[in-house]
Amino acid sequence: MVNPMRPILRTLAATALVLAGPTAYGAVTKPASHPGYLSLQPFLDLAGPDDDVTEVNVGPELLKSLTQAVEDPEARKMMGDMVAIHAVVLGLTGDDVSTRLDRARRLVADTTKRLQDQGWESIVRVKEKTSAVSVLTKSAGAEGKVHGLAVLVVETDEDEPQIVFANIAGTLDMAQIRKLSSGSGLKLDLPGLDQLGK
Amino acid sequence: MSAPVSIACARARAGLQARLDADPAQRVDTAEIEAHLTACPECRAVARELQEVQDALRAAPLLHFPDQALEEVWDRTLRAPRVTRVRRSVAVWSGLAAAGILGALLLAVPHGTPVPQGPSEEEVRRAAAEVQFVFRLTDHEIRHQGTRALREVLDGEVAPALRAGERK
Repeated sequence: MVNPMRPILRTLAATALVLAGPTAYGAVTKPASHPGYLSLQPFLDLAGPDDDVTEVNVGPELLKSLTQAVEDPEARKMMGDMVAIHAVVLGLTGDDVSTRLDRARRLVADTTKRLQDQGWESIVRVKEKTSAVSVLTKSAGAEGKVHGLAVLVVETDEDEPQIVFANIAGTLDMAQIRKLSSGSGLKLDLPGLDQLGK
Repeated sequence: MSAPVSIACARARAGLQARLDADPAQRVDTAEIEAHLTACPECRAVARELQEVQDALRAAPLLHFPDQALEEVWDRTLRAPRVTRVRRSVAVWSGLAAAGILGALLLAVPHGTPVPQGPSEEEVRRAAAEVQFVFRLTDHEIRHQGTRALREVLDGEVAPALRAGERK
């Protein structure tokens, strides 16, 4: 039996597709499909009701706008190759902090192992009494290039117990990452930036 | 409310759509359709309308869409639940009307017109601050490790060697 809806809807969809072209074409691929992208969710799940939660989620659309706004050519190039930058910082409070810190330590260890099994390379790994740190990169195959970077931190210090997870997805140059770690940093000179968060 | 359509008209219109659709899974009896069109002015009008929409679409420039973007558009159009909730007869005709309007719009809108949708200046500034926050955090952890490694070398190797030298 012929479905009379199909050709009409197909026609309608095709027309909408052409009209929606600039938007649809401009829309960048979903970052979750990028090999360097990791979900924040397991870390967000550790949050308690009284915790201080800082969540950063800069996706492709914002990165694209940001890239256009940045004046420094090197920073612009670096930003242009990024797909997503996201992070969560949990400042733990409550009666169950030690239990959740134990869970977080296990999560960091498990995530590190899982990522290594998936081809991520550990560039920093620290296990101390008061902290567990893991920094990993996903190689992009090309010399010095990576698809993503992940930072996992659990600070069990009694004064300020916190969990940090950050992920940068995109094609990054290891030299740029070294530049980050040398303290020269990336300068995103946007007017009024200093006023934010005050 | 549209007038009831005879079985012959319904068959002819389904055949017309299948023919325009070039769907190999559907049998199209061209002779039967043409015979019906000769005798039925309403179906001739439908055929003309369908052909106009098809011609307008064919005349449009071919754009390449990434597969994912295409999927998203399908999700927002064909696969959107609201389409399936509309009564079929209404959907067919309103779909045809909408296609006609959209087709006309397509011809009227100059290609390459920018779509002024995107993050506000404030959102971009906030994103810049957030990106810097993540970079500083990453920077801190990598540098912290460098300091730690240096301290381990100093404490574990250099200091014992110096103490051994002093004892000699």
